[in-house]
Amino acid sequence: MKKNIFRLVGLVSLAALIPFGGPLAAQEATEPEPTTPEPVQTPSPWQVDTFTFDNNGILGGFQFVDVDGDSAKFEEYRTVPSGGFVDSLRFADTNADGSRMFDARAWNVGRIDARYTLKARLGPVSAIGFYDQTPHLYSVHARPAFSSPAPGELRVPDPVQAAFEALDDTSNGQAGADNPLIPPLGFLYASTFPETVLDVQRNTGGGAANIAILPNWNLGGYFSDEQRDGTKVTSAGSYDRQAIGGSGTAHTGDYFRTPDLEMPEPVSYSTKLYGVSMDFSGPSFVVEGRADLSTFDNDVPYLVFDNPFRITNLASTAFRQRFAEGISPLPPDNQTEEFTFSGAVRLPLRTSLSGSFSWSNWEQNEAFAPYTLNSAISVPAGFDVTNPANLPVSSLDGKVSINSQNVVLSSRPVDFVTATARFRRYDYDDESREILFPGYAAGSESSWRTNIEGEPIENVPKDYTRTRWGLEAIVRPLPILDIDASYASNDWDRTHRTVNENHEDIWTIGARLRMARSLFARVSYAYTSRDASIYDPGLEFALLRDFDVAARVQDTYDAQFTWSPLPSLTLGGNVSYVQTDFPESPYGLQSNEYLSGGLDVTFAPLPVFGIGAFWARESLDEFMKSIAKDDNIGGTNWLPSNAWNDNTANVINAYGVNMFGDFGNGFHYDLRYSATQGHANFDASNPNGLPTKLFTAIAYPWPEITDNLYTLRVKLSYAVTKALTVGVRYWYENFQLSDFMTDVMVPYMFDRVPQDLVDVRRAYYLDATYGSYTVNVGTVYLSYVF
Amino acid sequence: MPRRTLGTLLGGAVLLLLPLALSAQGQEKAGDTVGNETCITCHEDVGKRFAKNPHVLTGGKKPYKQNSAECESCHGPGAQHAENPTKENIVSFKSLKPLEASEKCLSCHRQDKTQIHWAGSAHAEGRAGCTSCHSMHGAAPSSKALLARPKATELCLTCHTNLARALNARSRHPLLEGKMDCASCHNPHGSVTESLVRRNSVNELCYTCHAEKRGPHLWEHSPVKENCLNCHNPHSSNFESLLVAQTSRLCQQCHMQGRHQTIPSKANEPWVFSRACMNCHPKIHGSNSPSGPIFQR
Repeated sequence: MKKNIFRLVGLVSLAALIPFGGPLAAQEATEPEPTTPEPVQTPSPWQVDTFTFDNNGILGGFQFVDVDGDSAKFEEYRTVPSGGFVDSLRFADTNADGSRMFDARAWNVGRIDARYTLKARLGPVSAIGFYDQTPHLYSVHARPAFSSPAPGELRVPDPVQAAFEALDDTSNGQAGADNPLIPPLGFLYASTFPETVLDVQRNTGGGAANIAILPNWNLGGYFSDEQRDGTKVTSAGSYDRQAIGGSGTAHTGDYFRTPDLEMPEPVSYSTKLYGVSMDFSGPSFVVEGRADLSTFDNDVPYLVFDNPFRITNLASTAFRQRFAEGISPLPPDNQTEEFTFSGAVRLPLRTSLSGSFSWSNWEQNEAFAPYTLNSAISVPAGFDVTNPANLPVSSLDGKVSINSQNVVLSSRPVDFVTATARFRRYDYDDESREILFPGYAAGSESSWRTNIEGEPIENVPKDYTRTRWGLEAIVRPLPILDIDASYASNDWDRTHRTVNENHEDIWTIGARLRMARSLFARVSYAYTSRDASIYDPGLEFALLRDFDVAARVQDTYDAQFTWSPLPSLTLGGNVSYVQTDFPESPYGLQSNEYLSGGLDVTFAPLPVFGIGAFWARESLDEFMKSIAKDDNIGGTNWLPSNAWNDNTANVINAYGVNMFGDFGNGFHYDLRYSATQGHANFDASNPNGLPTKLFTAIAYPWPEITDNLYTLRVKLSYAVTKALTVGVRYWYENFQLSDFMTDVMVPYMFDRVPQDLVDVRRAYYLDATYGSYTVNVGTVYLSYVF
Repeated sequence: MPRRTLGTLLGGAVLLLLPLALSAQGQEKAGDTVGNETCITCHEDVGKRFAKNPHVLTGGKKPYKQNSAECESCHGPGAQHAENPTKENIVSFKSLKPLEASEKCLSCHRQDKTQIHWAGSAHAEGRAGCTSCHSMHGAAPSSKALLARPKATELCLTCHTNLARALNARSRHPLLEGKMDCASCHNPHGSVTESLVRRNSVNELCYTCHAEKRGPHLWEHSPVKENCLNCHNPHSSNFESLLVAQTSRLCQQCHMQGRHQTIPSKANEPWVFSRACMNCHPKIHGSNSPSGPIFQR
């Protein structure tokens, strides 16, 4: 039997390696059988279909791609090259009873977004293997100032560091006091940076197998190995603050200098997943036990980088980011093991009891980096802060234990009633070592700080337990009508958070109407009320509330329908509206409104003509209250005159229309247009009038963020034979982006746009952005189905 | 009663009640069957297509009542229907409500481990049913698991139309490229969590692909460790990295401790543009640096 497996795998692998020779080989390997045509699928208006064609044989062709603008967003998760392509390749064969089969498939053959799968079954053994490649492109025109002589090392030429340092200003001056010669030097230096692509490639290979070892007993296992390699953006920054006008009542605002660095962070990750499982089943029960292991390894534990603006170290509380060389740990190696037991059993009276219990352990023990590489800090610290041997401990010895229990009991003792009870408990217990540090390198590695607002520098592992139970009843007073009502209780029990205990009640009522298969409608309403225990603000403003733990009241309305008044006509839609208020939050998030809805219609009266359309929308409006911090006046830093509010309205609209038809003589057409329009508005205001004292409390409106994507696709195909199809496709995409968060970056190198409140003369950004584009793709393809 | 004890008792009940299951096997009444050949006499097209159906190609496994699925395994005894072919004297899934159709399917598939959490789940009890998503005779040719649509995401959008916006939003997961689909994160057959998330918690699910954020870290950011969805909308966003709001405004919803984060700011200030707060606090998912208590390193 083993011999046969290897023969089978070898044959398929060989075929997959010779994509263009494959079809002939596959024709011989597969047994052509007269098949009945599959039912014609009516295309959805929002068909999930980009550049990759899919079929059950081989599909390839030639395409011409013209990109006008910034290609980064267009190829964010894919590659669309000009030239020949093989989008889909499939070889499959099955014997008469399915006891022997293989199915080898490939998509985007030979490209960096390819996927290959191989499924096989031989008697009681079934297996699948896969290899997937997924790119993630961030930018095609980043301009790093650094060279990287070794992984995790970013260097700047010494003369550059020396030149910038010579222009440093440490006179504690205010706006405009920094050396005006820095921008020209920055421009000169920036002109030497080559444009660089920032991307991370994710390649994953793996497999799974299942063996029916005995009747009703299955043994399974899986393995996957994911490699991620590339670069993404990281940063290291800080600010210097000088009070304007003096202190107390004379204080009118603050002036900030912000020395910031953006850098290409190396990514060299390996994530491996392993698992074994055993399940046993009978006619009315199934139980499973499984063990899973996940390991994460980062080949580059630290990022060591030169500061372009300094060549010597300085220790100063007033002047930050004054190090010659910085160090920043990258994501630490870690691993988890998890053991799960699950089962479901069918009991009398159409009752089902199911449960799942799992225990997992997480571990992380990566060696700590030193506090800093800025040796000047050693003086105030009183010891060599650059030597990791001077750390209290060498690693965290991080451990998390998670215990999860879930039980559901559901019963339909009579046709018109279903009752369900559920219990769930999730216990996250962080057992990591608590470490008291004598201090840390603060102000972006420029000073030694022994406390934060009087609190010692000590990590405090945080635990939480969430317990949820609920009851639900469904009553069917009419054969076409279901009415349901439920209650659920949610409890959170935490340590070391602003709120340690929350209790939430959730009441839901709903109804469903179903008339044969032509009409289905559903409505529901849920009322949620969450209480919070005593609020401990910690270092924060006492009246501020963290929205994720604050008391809240929530109303949720849901509705959905699908209706097919005619066999050729279907309509559908759904809407969800959620209103959330945080009634006990004087400051912070006050409320939000979430609306999400969609409609679609498909009308296909004739084989030669069908039409569809859809519309979908999501909006989130948030209202927040805040207040600018002043000097201690009258015993408080928080003066009502410095209050400001923010309304953010965030909307995504998507709509589209498609036409399709089959002329019956082999000609088929499919035309599709869609648009997705996003915009965000930021409306900030001062509720108590324009601040007259603290000008940094003045609220300014921000520009709107807009992002629009328009797509047109026309596809014509002709079935030469039942198996052979030729086709042409035209694809147009237009993406327009206007985002003040990144648009300002384009000219923003070494302070090209100095601010009145903020001096960014020592800020260096990668300009790792993406922008608008227009793409035209013409494709000729041929498809052959075996 | 302590919750841990309650959980343990309930868990034990599952195991203790297993024997009861053996006595509760649903016994369908035997009727007069006629066999596939008789059915195919009239339903020739369906019969031929079904020859390639996974219900037939079981590889000789006998998990179900029949060696391989016969027409009457699902449609019930067909003698009456053969004599007088009307919809009323045969089990027609087109006329069954989802709840009833699912019961038919579960009579065999209840012993699939993938269905362990089906009972009581969001799609169960008539909200949807097996035949709402799977088509035994009309599955899309290239679909997996006899789905009624070529791709899982497309199928889900049939009811969750509002999420069609997620396909082309500025910030999104790679669904359109076929690298993920809804089922990558959600188990439509039920799970232990709300929203049918595949793992024990949202964060555990996210760490499957983003293991670098798992930790535990020396310095943890509490809302991050408790729920990724506090800051991210996994379906779509107008902002980078699927964030629910512009970065500095999002951070200001919980932070007012110092001075720089309390000011409304102009749009072109360093804590507003580019990575905003993360220009200086890049380790927002947790830091393992001894000098990282405020996530700067």
